[in-house]
Amino acid sequence: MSASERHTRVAFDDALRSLEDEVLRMGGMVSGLLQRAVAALQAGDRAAAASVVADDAGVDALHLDIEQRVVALLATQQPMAGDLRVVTSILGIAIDLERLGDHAEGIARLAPFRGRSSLARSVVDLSYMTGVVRGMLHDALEAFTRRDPVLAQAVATRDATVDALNEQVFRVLLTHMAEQPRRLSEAIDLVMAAMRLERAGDHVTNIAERVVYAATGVLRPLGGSRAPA
Amino acid sequence: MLVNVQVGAPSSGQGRPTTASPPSVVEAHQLSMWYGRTQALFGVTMAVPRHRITALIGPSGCGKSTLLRCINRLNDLIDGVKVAGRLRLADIDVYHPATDVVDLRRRVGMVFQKSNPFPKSVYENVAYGPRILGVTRRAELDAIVERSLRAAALWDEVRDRLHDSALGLSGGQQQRLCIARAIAVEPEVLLMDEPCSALDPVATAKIEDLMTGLKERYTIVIVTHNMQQAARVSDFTGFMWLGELVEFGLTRDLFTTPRDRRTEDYITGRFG
Ligand SMILES: Nc1ncnc2c1ncn2[C@@H]1O[C@H](COP(=O)(O)OP(=O)(O)O)[C@@H](O)[C@H]1O
Ligand SMILES: [Mg+2]
Repeated sequence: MSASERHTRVAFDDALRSLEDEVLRMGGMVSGLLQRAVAALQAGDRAAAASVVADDAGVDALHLDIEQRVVALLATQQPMAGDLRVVTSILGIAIDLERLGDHAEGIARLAPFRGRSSLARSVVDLSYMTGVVRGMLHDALEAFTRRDPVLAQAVATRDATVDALNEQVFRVLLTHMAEQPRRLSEAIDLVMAAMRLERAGDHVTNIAERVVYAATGVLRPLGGSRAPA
Repeated sequence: MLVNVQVGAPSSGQGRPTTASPPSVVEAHQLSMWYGRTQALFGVTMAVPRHRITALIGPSGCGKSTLLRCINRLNDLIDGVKVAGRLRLADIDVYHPATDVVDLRRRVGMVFQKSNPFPKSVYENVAYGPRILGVTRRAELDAIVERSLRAAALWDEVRDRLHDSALGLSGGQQQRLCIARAIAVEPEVLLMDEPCSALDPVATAKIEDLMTGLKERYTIVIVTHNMQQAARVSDFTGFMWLGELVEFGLTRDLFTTPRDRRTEDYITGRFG
């Protein structure tokens, strides 16, 4: 069929575009929360930590809103083929973003108990690990907007770096725990924060899988350790 | 043309009909068809799996009904029709000159868009085919009528009015009566040309339920302009466009991951 015979579905395309915008907005919020949570933990900043916890509620609300809009779109527009894959992928992506927000909240909740953490500044650098995860998230969402399976695959590959950083943080802190038992709980908090960042990387990998599915129809694991559903 | 099922050599693409697909009952190979000088089908190659529901979809005028009517040679009734290529129904070469068309049409039942019961009683509508085939014993006819009406999910609604006129039934009941009439002679294949397009959603749902039950015994080919219906009821779907079978595959695959851009454009509503 010639190009002139193709036409748009205005109502559907508009609704889909606004849903995609909402997903990107949610992604931006989550990325900011991760960064603020880790900074709050490093600084032992109770107020900053509390604001991360409060703002995560906004992420949860966005997730529920996206879910309802996806259901409405399925019911009213009955998308098929590529459209159907994009809409169902949005649902999956929103779930993973919501989990990412939960991990940011979890990290923030560690902060108030520790006060200023010297370990977090001198011994392990969670900022770098956070930066890798946020970079992956940025590119996964970029791949989603561009429907780019190659970029999505590349994002998933970077999850191995996050896994390796987590492993490294754990080893370093284990040594510290042995040497300085008085600072055990501070070290354990950092281990838990690193683990949450590692899980965050898995959720970004899930998002990359959805992007590959939306773009190609192939739904398969892209490697890396898996986040639970 | 992109056809995923080839006669005698099922394709084994990912998630596509594979050697695990049931054996086919109707096979078209490079089937072309002309109404006078106008070509309506262009080299259609398709294998219809046994005891499955196969849907044919595509924009109006793309040749769905034409292809369906080739299977029981209903097109023979039209002047100037010419056919090329091969079409097989089980062991029959459909267009072979020696083929017995009456026998072919017994083995291939058909239900049309507009229900067309005879202006006779419910009972006589169903008994009509078996009578022509020579069934005369009343008890045997009674049994066939009841079995067919039950299979068409109509028995409970008409058992007390078997000898009333069929024209007094509702549209949905009339369509189920036509299905009962078609299966009374135990065909192998049931062709349905937009069987629900004149029905309301409730009557449509009844026919769809019925089809799902009927495929245990019959191979069904349905033409529908309602894509949602094709997606709901069929196991395999063929997308036709300008007389070509553009794509054929598992319904699940075709509606989630079509291979051809034209299929994608059509089923996402961006064409037609
Ligand atoms: N009896 C006929 N005589 C001439 N042309 C016909 C006849 N029936 C159908 N056609 C033409 O053949 C093409 C396919 O028609 P048809 O099989 O009815 O399409 P569909 O069922 O997909 O709507 C159309 O161009 C139509 O005009
Ligand atoms: Mg037609």
